[in-house]
Amino acid sequence: MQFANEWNFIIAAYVVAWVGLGGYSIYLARLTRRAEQAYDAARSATGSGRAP
Amino acid sequence: MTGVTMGRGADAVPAIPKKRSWLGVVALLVIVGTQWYAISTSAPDRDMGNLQKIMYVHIPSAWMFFIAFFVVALASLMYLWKREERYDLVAASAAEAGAVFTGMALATGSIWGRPTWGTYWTWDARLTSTAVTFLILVGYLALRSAVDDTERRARWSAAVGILGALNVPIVYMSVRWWRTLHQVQSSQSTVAGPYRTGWQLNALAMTLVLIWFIMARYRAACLERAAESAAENAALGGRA
Repeated sequence: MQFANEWNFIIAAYVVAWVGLGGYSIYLARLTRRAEQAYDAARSATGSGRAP
Repeated sequence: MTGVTMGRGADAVPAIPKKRSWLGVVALLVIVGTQWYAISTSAPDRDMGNLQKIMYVHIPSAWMFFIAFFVVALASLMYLWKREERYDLVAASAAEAGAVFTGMALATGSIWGRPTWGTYWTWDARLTSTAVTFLILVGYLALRSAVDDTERRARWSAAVGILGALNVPIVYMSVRWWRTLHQVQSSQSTVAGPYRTGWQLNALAMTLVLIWFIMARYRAACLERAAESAAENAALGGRA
């Protein structure tokens, strides 16, 4: 069986999935970098080490 | 768990796990590979045609939100029992990843539904209960951002996490308890071999991605808490 424009729907589904996976990965990377910077700044203020 | 612990006793913030960027790279490479394999090797299905290729992302996403919510419930129970903040942070990390996968399952299912069912959305029991789960996860995250006190936030979040998990068996069984447009769960006996291999490989790859998401989010949450704690100590004139 074949549906009209089926590849448009397949591509749309994978684009949505990769926007979800890729978008959250980028969000996590940026969040981690900000958290590391905040951690390092707080630790240097108290004379301790850097993030592991 | 290797890492750094700040503070002592009841005020101790969770140890910060080591950075594991390689796991993220491996997870993303594996899922690219398994998706490519499934898309390129699966023949058109008798009923769904090529649209069955959407199942390699829709079904694993749905499975991941089941797993993520199980982690939320388990970590929430552990928090209420042990009162250790690390369990609260694990639950919150799993809830955030779970929300991503629930959103993906809803969106990809909706895209699949348009050509096959003739509609993007219907208030079918499976779709509605999944949407309710998504809203519970969003509500859980909104609650966390609305409460400043860490102990109260953890306690309330654990309650929502455990109560919200009660919806997961309803989502799973909805296709059997009610007459739904959504088909019943597939099993080893109802799916032909080549399609089954694609699903299993993608489910494994997606599980790897879920594990990485939870670990990376947990590490970021630990860093945030440690930074807050160190800043508080600095403000009070003490040493972390």
